[in-house]
Amino acid sequence: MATVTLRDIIKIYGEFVAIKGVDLDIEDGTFVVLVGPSGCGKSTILRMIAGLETISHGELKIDGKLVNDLPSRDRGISMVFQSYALYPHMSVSDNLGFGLRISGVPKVEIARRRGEAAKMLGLDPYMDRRPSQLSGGQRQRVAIGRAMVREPKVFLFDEPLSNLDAKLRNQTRIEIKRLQRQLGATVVFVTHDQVEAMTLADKIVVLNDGRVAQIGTPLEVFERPANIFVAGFMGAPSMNMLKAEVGPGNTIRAAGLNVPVPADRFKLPAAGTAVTLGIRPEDIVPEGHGTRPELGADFSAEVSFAEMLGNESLLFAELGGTEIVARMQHPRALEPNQQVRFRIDGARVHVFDNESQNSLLR
Amino acid sequence: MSLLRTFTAAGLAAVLSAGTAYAQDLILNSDKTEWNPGITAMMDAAGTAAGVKVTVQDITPTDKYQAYMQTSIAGNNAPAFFTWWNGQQLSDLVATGIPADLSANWDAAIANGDYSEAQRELVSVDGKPYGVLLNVANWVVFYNTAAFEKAGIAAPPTTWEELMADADKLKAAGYTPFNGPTSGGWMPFIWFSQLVLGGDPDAFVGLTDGTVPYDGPAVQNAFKVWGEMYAKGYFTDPREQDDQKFFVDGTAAMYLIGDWHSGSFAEAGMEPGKDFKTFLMPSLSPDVQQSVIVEASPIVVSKAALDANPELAKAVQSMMGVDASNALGTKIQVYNGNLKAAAPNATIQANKDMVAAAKPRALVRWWEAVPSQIQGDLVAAMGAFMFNPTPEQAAESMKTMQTINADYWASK
Amino acid sequence: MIATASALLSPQVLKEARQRERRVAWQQTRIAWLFIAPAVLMVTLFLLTPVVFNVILSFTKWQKFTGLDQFAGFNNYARLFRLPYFSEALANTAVWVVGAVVFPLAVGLGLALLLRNIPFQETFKSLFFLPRVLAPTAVAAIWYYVYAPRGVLNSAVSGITGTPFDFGWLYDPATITGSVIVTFVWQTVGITMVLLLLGLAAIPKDPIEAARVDGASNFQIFRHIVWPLLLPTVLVVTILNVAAGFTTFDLLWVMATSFPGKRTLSLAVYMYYESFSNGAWAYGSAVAVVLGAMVITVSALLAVVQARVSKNIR
Repeated sequence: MATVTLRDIIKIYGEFVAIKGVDLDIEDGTFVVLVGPSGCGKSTILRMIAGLETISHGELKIDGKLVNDLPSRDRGISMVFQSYALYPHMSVSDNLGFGLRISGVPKVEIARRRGEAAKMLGLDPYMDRRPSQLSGGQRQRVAIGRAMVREPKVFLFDEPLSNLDAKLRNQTRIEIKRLQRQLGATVVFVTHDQVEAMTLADKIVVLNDGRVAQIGTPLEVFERPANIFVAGFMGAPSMNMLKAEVGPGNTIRAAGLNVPVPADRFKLPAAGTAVTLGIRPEDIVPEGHGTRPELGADFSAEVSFAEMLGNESLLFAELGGTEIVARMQHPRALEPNQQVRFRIDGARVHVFDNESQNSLLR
Repeated sequence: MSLLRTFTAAGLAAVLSAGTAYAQDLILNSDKTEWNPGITAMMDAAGTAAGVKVTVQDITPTDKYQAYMQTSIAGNNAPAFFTWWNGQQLSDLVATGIPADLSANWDAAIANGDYSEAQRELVSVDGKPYGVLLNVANWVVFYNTAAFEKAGIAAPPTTWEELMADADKLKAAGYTPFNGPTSGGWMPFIWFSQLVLGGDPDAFVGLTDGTVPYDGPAVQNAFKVWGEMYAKGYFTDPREQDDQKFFVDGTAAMYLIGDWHSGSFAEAGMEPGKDFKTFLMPSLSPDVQQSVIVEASPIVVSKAALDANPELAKAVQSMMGVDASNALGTKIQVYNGNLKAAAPNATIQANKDMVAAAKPRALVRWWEAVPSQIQGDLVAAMGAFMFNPTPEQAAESMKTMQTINADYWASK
Repeated sequence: MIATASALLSPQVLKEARQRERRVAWQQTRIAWLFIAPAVLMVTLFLLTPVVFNVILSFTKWQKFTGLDQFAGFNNYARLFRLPYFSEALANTAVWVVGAVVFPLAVGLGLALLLRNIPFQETFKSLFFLPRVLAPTAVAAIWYYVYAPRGVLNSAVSGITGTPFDFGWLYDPATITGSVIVTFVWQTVGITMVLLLLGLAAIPKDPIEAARVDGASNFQIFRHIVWPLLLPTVLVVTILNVAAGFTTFDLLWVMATSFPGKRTLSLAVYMYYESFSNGAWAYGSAVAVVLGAMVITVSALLAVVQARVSKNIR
């Protein structure tokens, strides 16, 4: 297995700058997820690593070796595509063996590796079928198997789960993670789904508009978002963002409320400075549902709509002219437009500088 | 839909042409494009007397014309008049019942002194005449007088040896001795048939009635002589499509062809009797009787047209008259045999005199004498030899021709 | 609330339901048949009837103006192999079929691959497609002068070598078929190329990229991925060109005007000569039947292969 290093990577299509300078260090054996909204450049970075796109500027190293101008086949990578990209005219068995066959790997060796992959992925019953005779999940497993048999230094996954239905997606996600652990493989995985990113990654790279917004472990990215973009992108529903200003003492004023915050959590500017207050839905606690936060501010609001999810409900209300979402644990039925008392968990709120958009966390 | 419209139009045309066969406007189809003005003049002269307007429509070359006429005849769509060939070709046509029996017209013409009984035989099948004569021609060798003079040839040859010696002299003087065209889908038979009949006239006749094979000694000898002549460079490039080009531009010194061609030479600027003259082709050896090919081209009259309009018989009679003949001769220097008419030019007159003096054996041209179902296939084999005049190709051509010939006569 | 359907699904109810479905289906197809009817009529009248008539003719003795009412049995077919020109025409037709399939495909594919990703692609496409919009007879007339003894080709050779050259490309049995095939390729390559470009555009990009990552070189990608996926299109083009090769007529008819062995250049030309020039209608019909049978057999075989290949890559 191997490390992947990106330095000052830029990608230009004509006049359009798609990747605006990306640095990235991927350590050996880690599962790195590139996540971001569509158009952020995550697939482009993956395809540059794969050798399917040229690199306009910067250095790409795999295992310390500069590979900018190496063709795909010499980079020691395997790729799993969103559409599976199976060879439609070949059987499963031939799909798995194709890459090895054209590389001149001896037949015995091909059979061994193919057998291993088939066993690991449960493909044995389908070896003589063609892709069109397989279900979506089976095709995805073939695509993964095809990447595996090459025993690459780096696995690249380009949104491999997006064509699967929800149940299968969960299963396959777990399977991919299990395989990665088993093989100890270095994986670069692209997705726009932040749940996928959170569950799979050792390290998440959040991308926005061709730049890295934040790199960190799933917990870091979720608990300590570096800026408004990351805070808004990670977590569903999104973090509520309120116009605010720094209050006296350790308080933030927003929508007529004084929200107290822990003394050492933020590097707050002078009182009266305009900031953005970020509150995750689960940190707006309806009265009587879950533990009452110690540090906090109370308010009462009319719930215009309640979205029932079973184990919880999402409550939509208005606070200071901004639509907010709150999470209600162990939900109860609400009358239309019922008044509910909420308490904001002051210990868990985020404060962002309005100019730089960066978090003011210490 | 255009297909449907075409069919409807064709059907309508058929109905109209059947229903209006007596109308003033009649069609004469022909493959003889160069003769168009002459035929038109002849038909005008004849038609004026009978109150009929005949329009000449050409379809060329000959093989295409045959295809067109065969489909017309098969579809019972024959025009009122069309040029045809005598001999076997006319027999085939008479079997369809399309041509009119012109006995009455011929009786009147002979009584009037326009034609002879012998001429009537040229267009007769089983004793009945089925055509008006358009052309009666002797096949002679045209020669370029300037070339002969330059090569030091004082008088035209009278024996084969002299002819070959003169050819060598012409070659030495920078001329190609003989024009050897292959165009029109029929010309390759000219030298083939000449070399067969020059060696054995009876075998030539036998070729056309199935009694002599196309790979027998007579034909073998013809190909041998022909090949030797090619080897000596006696013939022009067979690829040229304008058949008279090499003769009128002075490349070739001699051209074996029917004397109806003299008008075309005149048209091209050569004065008959001055720039070119003619002689009768000698046999291959002195002990073989000299022969001359006599070509007669009839204009056939549709029986249906004649039945629909008995007045048309007057026009036919006029076509056989001296005025029509002179109109034709004046316009294009083609002679249709009318005894009262003047020879259209000095050459044709000279040929008549030569034939009268030498009394050669008169033979029907191979094209008319051979069954028309196989004539094209046989000509193709002769043409193949002209493009590749080797003994191997000669053997190949003879084998091909005899296979086709034998198959035809066996199926009879 | 759970519905109990066992009582509802009685044989009577099911029967009525089926009848209703069938009635609706007929009402829908009825209109379709109405629209198809004129086409069926046209095909029957102008295609099937002549074909049947032609087959019947081939068993008669019709030649020149007689024999349409006489039965000849298989005599006309037996003559095919007795007479020399049929086998020559057959051999040349075989050359034509192979040439008409291989060369347009090879050149068209080469051009399609070249043009796929270049600027001014549309201009080049139009340029190569241009000959297609000319009538074959016009194309033949142009190329007749290219090959003429003093034509463009020989002049070029003379110019380059400095020695006079007047080879008769269209007069030598050894070169005429090849020369006319070159013209055919010139005219056909455009449409072949456009069809192949469409076929190439329809190939998904992903398997090609997958193969690239899988370690395949450009040639290997073409050989193992593009070619198999393009095969259905290739076979469609082949079916078209096979039919064209078998029935080639107009180019030969015009370009071989002065070649004495013209009738042996293809079965279609031979058929024309026998029927229309020699008046051997019945025999010509037999040639047509054999030719038709060959075209239908080969095309049908290719169509079966095409269907199978298409299914395999779906």
